[in-house]
Amino acid sequence: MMRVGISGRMAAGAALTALFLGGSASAVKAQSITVGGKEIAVHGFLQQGFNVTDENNFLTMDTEKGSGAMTDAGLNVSSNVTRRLRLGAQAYVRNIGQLGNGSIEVDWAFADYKFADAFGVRGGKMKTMLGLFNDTQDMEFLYTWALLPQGMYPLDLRSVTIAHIGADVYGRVAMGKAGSVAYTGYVGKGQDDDHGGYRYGVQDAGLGFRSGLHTNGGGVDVRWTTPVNGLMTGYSFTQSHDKVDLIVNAARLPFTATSDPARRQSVYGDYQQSRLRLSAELRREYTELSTAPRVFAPSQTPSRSWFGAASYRVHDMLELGTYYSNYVYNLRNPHNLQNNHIYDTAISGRVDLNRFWNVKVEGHFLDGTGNLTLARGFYRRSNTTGFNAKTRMLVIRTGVNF
Amino acid sequence: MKIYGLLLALVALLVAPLKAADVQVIANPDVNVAALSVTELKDIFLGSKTAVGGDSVEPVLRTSGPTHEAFLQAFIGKSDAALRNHFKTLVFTGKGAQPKAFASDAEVLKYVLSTKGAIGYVSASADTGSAKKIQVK
Repeated sequence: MMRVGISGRMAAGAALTALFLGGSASAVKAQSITVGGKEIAVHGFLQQGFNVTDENNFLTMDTEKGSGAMTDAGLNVSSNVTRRLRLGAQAYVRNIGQLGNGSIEVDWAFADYKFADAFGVRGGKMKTMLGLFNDTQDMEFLYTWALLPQGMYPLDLRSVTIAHIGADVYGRVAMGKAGSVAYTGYVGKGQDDDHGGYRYGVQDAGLGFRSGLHTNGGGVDVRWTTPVNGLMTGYSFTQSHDKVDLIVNAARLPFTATSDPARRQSVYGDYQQSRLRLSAELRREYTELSTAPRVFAPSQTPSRSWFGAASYRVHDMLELGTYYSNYVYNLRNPHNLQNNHIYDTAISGRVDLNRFWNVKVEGHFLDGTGNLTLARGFYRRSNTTGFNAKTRMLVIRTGVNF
Repeated sequence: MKIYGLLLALVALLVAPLKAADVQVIANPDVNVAALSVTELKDIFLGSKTAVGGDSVEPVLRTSGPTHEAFLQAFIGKSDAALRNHFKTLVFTGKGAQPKAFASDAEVLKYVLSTKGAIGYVSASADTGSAKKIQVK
């Protein structure tokens, strides 16, 4: 039954992709409409991937046999209602293996009022600024890579990490010869995802959900555009209080799990000069987890992930790049345990067929599976015969946007 | 020493072809400034500076071509692909809009003249008519 379902969704994804690709040329021209004298910009993207691994099924796909169940798309509208007020919203849908299931979600929808370049406010559902790529992690067309470093930006957790519902303050302060500083601060609620990797991973551990995931928190991101042309560096901090009601399925034992705090800090840098781009980020996470009643012992887990990436556009149509990423789930345990780390070396080639359509071919050399309940691509249900320590993966991904 | 000399000459050749003198920056006559610094101009064209002298400004781009490349190299410091990615980031996070872009000097000039606050660029040889020429310091 599962294979039939996947095939059905693959066919739907392929049909949608073909329709989108076929219509992309005309869609590119139709980027705005005018309603009541106001121009409304319309933009969209669609991405389709194919993954094959030599060992271990990845991201809930049947990758050992090769899988094309990797489709996502977004469509947004936005308008400058007045000189200072901007409104917009984006719908998003995805089907990645068993994740997403084609359900349409509001990706972002907010009002943005800019008092001045140095100070503005937003209210609604906004993308969360965290590190270099959190708010843009699903926009493959921005990157050389078919997959961002999955230890830090896991596709599985996209929906619970990418946005918040609440309020932002933001701005940019010019500092003359010292460059400029852009800041964003936020408070709000995180979002749950019935079809995401968080739930899939928790269910893998034999637990069931009695409630949705409730997340409240806030954070700040500060990024400095330095006087060195092309060099930007920054720091992000987020902290939340997470709560969810669960049940141990086998024992029919209900309990409440609380993470307080769940904290993330990132330092990052990005250098773009001519055809060269260098990026690096270091992230530390710290989570204190408790359960009531005390079904599991309280735990404190410090995690760390980092990556370094380099890419070079060798031709107007061709970009080549590589990155190394390193993720350790619990720094207090031996790092070399298979289920405590994911190390990934990726080599990528990107061909831009035109301004709106690209194709990427990418090789990954993965070492380790990480903690199996924490949604980093490896799941027990997808790998019922167990795991191998190393995974080689080929990813082919194409995307159009307008 | 000869090798260093050759390398310097090669670098100079690579850098020389596109320069600020190949473009002229123009604005709607209502724009209340006669000169901008390179940093101010860059900020306007990256969408991070939206007002000059208290009035709103709107950047206008060429879609491609030597004038566009010269402008990017002389003032923005980003490749065309990097600039497009910059605006796609704004568009797909909802935080900004893609600027208007036109295929010819004449279209840029027409839009700049008819749009309050518009600032664009055309080739050095273009007739800018009644548009205000902006000095870039």
